[in-house]
Amino acid sequence: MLSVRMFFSKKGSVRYISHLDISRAISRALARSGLDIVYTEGYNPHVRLVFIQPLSIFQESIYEAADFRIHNEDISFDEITAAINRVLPKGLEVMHTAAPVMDISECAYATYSIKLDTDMSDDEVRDELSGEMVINKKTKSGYKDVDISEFVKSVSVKDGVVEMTVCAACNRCLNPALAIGYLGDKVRSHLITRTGLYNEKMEKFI
Amino acid sequence: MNTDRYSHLLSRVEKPGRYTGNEYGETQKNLDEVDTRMCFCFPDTYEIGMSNLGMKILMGCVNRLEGVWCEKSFAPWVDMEALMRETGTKLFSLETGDSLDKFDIVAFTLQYELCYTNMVNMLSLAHIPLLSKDRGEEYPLIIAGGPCTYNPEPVADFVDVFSIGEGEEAIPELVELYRKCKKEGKTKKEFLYLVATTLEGFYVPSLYDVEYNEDGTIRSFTPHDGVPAKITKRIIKDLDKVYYPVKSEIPYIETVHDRIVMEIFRGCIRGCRFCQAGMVYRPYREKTPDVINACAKECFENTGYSEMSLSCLSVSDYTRLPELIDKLLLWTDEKKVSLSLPSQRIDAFYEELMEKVMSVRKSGMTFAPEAGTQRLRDVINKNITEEEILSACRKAFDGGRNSLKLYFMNGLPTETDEDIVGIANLSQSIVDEFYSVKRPGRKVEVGISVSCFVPKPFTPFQWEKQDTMEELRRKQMLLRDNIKTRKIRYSWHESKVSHVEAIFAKGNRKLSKALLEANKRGQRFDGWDECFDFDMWMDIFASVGLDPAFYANRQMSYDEILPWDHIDCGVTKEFLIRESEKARMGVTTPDCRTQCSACGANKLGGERKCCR
Repeated sequence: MLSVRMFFSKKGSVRYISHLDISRAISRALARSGLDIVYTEGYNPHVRLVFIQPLSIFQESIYEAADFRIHNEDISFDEITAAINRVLPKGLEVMHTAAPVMDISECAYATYSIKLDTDMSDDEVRDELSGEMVINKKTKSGYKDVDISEFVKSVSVKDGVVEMTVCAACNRCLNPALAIGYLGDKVRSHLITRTGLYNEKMEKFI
Repeated sequence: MNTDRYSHLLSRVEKPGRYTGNEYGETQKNLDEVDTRMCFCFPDTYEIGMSNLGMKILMGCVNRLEGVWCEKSFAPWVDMEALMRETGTKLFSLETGDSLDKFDIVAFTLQYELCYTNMVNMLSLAHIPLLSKDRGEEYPLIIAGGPCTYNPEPVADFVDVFSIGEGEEAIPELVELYRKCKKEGKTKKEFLYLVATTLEGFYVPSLYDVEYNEDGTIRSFTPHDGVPAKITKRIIKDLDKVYYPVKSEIPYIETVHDRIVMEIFRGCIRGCRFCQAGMVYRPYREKTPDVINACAKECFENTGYSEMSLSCLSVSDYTRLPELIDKLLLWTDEKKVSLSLPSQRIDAFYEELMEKVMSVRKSGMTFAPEAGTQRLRDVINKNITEEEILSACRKAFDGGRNSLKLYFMNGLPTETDEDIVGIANLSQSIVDEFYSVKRPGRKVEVGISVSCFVPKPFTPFQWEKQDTMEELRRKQMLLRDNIKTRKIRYSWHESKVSHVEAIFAKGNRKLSKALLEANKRGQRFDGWDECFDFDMWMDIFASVGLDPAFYANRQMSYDEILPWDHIDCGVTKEFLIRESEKARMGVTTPDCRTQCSACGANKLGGERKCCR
């Protein structure tokens, strides 16, 4: 059995598609790719597919990662990449596939590039996003005030584009849309693109 | 499409994936090479429309024509509609994002009466004048097809041309005639006359005049000079040779039927007297197992779906079912594709077959006895006995199932309280059947779902009146009070919805007025509980001077001119009258394989197993 980590991008109109739907679309693509994909055992077999860090609806990404396995070990990663790209819907594209190096649990941070449509100056945006950010967040036990600044590792702003590094571990994770939401009505619209996944030492997640 | 055009809307609605297109397998063409643009509209949400096999078939048939591009559009959900109206955005197609008024042909499929308001609303959202008579040459041709068009009259004022019957051959013919006329610079009026007089299976309502009697019934229905008095529905004679959408698009967001659908036959040999589909889809025609199997394989390879269901009116009537299942299972097991067999008749329930099919995934089991007593089942010609029902349930329980779902109807012609109590008794017998044998650690659940009878055109019950809503409600409560165990889960349909459905099902042209008024008042999505507004509907009918009871609760006589009499769906009125009379006497009619009952669908032709 061959473990495969697939690195892919999600751009354009697929940003309107939720994680669950993307996950189903990729499962189906794998099923029709002709690759000898490993399915889960049991009454309801489905493609064994694990996403490193789900991406929210309305966001694009140039660095997504997901793991699956195939039975056939005599196949090159380039062939796997090509086979999947042949059958992926528009907007999703595999950049490359490789054997997983890091464990999923090592994923700790994600970087985002966020384009804002706002009259605020870069400095104003940076100041707002660098201090304490208390938001009213929906949790399992109702709404709660949370300071999300503790999940933000770094922020820089240039020409209306925010570059942010935020937590992206499975148990400690921030959706950058919440930070942008903190800016309120002063932001007319925004486009969030995830640009990378990293481990605790800020090494690229591979 | 490039969604940037609509990003200001998409970021503000629920499930934006309904409006973005770009599905895997979507048909894209180069507009420079296209001379005729069609938009296929499904007047309900994306999730429902994308589940419709007919839409995939017909879009595929049109897109096979060079120079023609058929795109698609759906009714935007209420949040999107509000934003579109607020921003002045016209309803658009999902392939190019162009607004519907830019197209040559806008086609609607009418699958159920409660979507009529959505069709009108979609025209309104596209800024296209609603009534045919108000649309000049600059506006698209509006066409409609689908099961509801067997009685096209309630929407006759909105639609330029109706396609009656199966469309795989008819729609491309219409499109080709349109192109020819467009090239020759013919007017819309000239084109419509040519459609009515040279093509088969098309109804152009503006070429017929209706006069009414004082009591509101129809006095005369007169075609213009040279226009045929009757429009005979089209059928596909050889299903093995007809186009099938093996490469249709796969939606991103989850749809209602998100799976491979394989059609195995059309028509029905049974003749249940309430069932419109069983009459209007005749004659019975099968596809051969090899053709279905090859098609199914291709569908899987193109889609990667993990579920496949066989589509037809009653799967166990397929003469070569075991052979087909064996062929399919040869590869579906290995590919982890689960097979579901919907619409089983209880009497033909093969335990062995189900064992096989269940080997991959367990799917739910549903039976439809429709009525609670033998007398009433005979009236409706549902040819099954209580013993057959119980024995089928026993087999299902022995096979490991703990739950079953049963469909019934109330308000059927001749129904008495005894028949209603019979539903409770039959359900109780099924529960008792489960416990008649020791089944350690297992509990049974019998779900019964009871809908209200709606008389439909082209059935032996087309002349019947619907029970009043009060009576339907009384029967629903009577049944509830007669269910004595929690092992039976009872649900029923809202009688108000069924009442409006009956009005439109049996409606005439005057109902176009009500639909127009409904659109003014913002009515749409009547099939959705959250949008259906009964009081508003009653107010609408009153305001346009129509009496709901005239349509829904009036017994019609055999010699009355019916609003749909100009449509010929194959089965003859004589046959329907014979069946109606037999129903009154509680006499059953055998299925078409046992004995031909001369329904008349034979004349439409085609190779088939029965009707010989």
